[in-house]
Amino acid sequence: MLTNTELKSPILIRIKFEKQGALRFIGHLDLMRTFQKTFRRADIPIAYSEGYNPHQIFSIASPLTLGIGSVGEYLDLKLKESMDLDDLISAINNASPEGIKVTAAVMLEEKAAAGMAAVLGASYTITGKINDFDLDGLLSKETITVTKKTKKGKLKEMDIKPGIFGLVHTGDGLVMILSSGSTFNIKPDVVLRELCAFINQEYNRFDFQIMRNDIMMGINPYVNLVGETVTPI
Amino acid sequence: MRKLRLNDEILLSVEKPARYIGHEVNAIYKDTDNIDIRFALCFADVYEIGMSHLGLAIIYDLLNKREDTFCERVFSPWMDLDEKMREHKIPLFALESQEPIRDFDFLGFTVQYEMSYTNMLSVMDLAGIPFYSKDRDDTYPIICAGGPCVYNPEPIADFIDFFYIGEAETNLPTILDLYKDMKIAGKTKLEYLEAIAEIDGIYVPAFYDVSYNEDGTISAFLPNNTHAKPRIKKQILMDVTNGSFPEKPIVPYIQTIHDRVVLELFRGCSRGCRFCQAGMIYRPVREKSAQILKEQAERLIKNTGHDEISLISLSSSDYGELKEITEYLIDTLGKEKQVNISLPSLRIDSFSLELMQKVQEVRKSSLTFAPEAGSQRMRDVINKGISEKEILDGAKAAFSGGWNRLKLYFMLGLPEETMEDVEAIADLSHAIVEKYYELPKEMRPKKPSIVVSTSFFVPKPFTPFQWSPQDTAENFIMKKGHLWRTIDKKTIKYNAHDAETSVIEGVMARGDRKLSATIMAAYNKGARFDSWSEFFKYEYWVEAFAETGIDTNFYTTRVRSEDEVFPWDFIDIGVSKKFLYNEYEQAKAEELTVNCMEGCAHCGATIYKGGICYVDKHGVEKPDINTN
Repeated sequence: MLTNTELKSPILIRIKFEKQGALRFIGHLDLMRTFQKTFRRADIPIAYSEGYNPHQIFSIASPLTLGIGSVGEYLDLKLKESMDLDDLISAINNASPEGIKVTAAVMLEEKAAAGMAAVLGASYTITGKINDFDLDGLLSKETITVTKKTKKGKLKEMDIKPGIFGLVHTGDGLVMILSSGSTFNIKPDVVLRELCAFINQEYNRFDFQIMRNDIMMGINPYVNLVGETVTPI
Repeated sequence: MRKLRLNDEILLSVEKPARYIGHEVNAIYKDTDNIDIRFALCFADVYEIGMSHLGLAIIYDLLNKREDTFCERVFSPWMDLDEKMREHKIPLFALESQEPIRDFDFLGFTVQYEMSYTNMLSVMDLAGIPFYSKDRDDTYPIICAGGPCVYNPEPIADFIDFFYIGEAETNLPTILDLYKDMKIAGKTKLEYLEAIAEIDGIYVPAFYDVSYNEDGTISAFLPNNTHAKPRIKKQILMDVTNGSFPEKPIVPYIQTIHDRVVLELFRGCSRGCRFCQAGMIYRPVREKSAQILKEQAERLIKNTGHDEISLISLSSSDYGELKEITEYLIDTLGKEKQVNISLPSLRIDSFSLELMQKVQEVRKSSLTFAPEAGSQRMRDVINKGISEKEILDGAKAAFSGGWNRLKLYFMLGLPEETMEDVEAIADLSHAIVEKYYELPKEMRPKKPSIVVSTSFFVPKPFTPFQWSPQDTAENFIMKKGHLWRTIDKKTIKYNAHDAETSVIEGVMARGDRKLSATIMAAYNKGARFDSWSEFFKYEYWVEAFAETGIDTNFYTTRVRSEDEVFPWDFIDIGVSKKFLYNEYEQAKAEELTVNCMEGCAHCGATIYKGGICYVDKHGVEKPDINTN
């Protein structure tokens, strides 16, 4: 990563942000539109694409499921002129709706930007009816098979156990580290459903509050918890 | 983090939960312990429609500029949430505080179309507020209504405590001042209504008795309360340049119908089309100065982050400085901030095409023409003031300018219409298509896309056609079928509105108080979201008419005499009934009337002492109007 003084053109920046409260009910496309308007209000010197219909150049990693809050979302953007990162953070935060808050920003080397596609895992903290869960019991099963609906509407069986990288009770709640990204994506509610089934607890999504803590770009599945992970910032 | 009224389970089980959470940028929040008046401002349709309405934004801003008032928004929950709120007995709440509107001081509706009447009842129902004014004691909010539909408030008279006739900027603040004083002094709702009944523009329906002739027409419409005025004078803001305008409008998260900021070029319309209610009720034309528009445009973009600005009016080509302001916006916001400028409601001629060319540069959206009628004879009947040559020249210029998508709007069922006039719609459309093929081959790379849409004409109060019989539903369907057969569907796509909706709209538009019971009956059967074809059920209305003894033909197809007392006659819009009747006669004689830019037709709007009656479109004062 580059420091503030080693500017290159174009300038690529990655920001980490929170999406909480009422903003949990804003879908991915609407979140994109919200950032577009926020950047304009904040007068961020964002770069525009070429062509007849220029649009701001930025992308958001790993869309969040509607209803889930997060303290670890990431957005990469391209600036046409340099800007102090602390100023950038405060400018965005001053123009953001309540519920969106930028917590960090770094400058990227150009090739790092492609890293968003390399998202491999995500960590979640679950609170609510979690006390009776038998984490070791579920993980000791040879396979954890779930039925999933494919895009064509067909039902397909799938073993999610290889995608559960970590599952542990902490003081803050139940922490899950799950495979994420385009190739093997496991949503936390799927795991919650299996945890309930394992102890014959009736599953209701709304018995739980789910918060995404962070996403990970590199992960070693053999390490049980926050071991060998690389977060985007 | 502010609270939400709906829990996660409900929010995640309905479409677009962002409709119900508030929290948008520029939404106003106030400490409810420190305000005197809580006002729930309601557009009784879904969020995306209501949030696209400039009037709502103007009132929201106007009321929230007052330190003593907290004005919040209320929209109709979409059907999915509507059902859940009934099932779980969740009271309807305002978006900002998320608190039930049952406890507010006012519930104010902006009523933009007749087909939203059942939605107004639904809002009251969900809020736990009795429908009829007579059934509400002093603990309920005062229910008021404004907007274009309340120029004939009678069909919803039984539900509303008071109507505000005209533009809110003038007297809405006055009636809130009075409310605060009287609330502190412990006065009753009746005392309050009596006090505001003396203010211009305020109509309290319970203070009037209506008696009828044997044939069902009105014999007398008289105040039964000494505080009530015999005539209610329309309120309009004369100085639109310096009037209150929302410079920090709310920025929705979800895409609304008009996802952009809007600026009003002027209010009113000088054209005088005889079918058009807006053209009569908003008289006289009042222009906003170009200088203030430029300043506001910049602030609107800065405050919202929108990337499009729309300059709106009823007929934007008539704005004196249109070219100047458009070019200014392109040079500043367009070039520096990638803001698109949109110019709806232009007459299609070379002047406006040149402007649109500049605004859009390369991207060509579709163009909309509204000839309204196919034959020159019919266009003269409606005083459209545009010739066939002008239409065809406009089409030719558009095609040469590179546009190949045109939308054409017409009305079926206009007064005096014959089958030849219906066929003329097809003829004119075909002639427009031909203009495309007259271009040299290299200028027409692909087939043109021409869409013809027809709506059914519904006569509206305060227009010259308020005396005119509405065409029957059978005729509508027959004419639509005839046009469908006549039009060349290889080159033209034809869309038509629904005839049944037009019947209900026609009944409500010129309806009287007896219809409150009908609307109630239709609502009780399940009528809601009547303006949405997926929810509109004609059967509910047919049954409701039968149960409440209403003959729809009385309101729609009946011929009215010159001296009939209309349910809305007690409202004074400045334009005289005599002028309107004279215009009706002119229509039948196929005679044109000058528009306000060319000369004065003496409609009566000069009593407002301003606007185009006194100043021309370049801001130059006219000689004394009465010597014209």
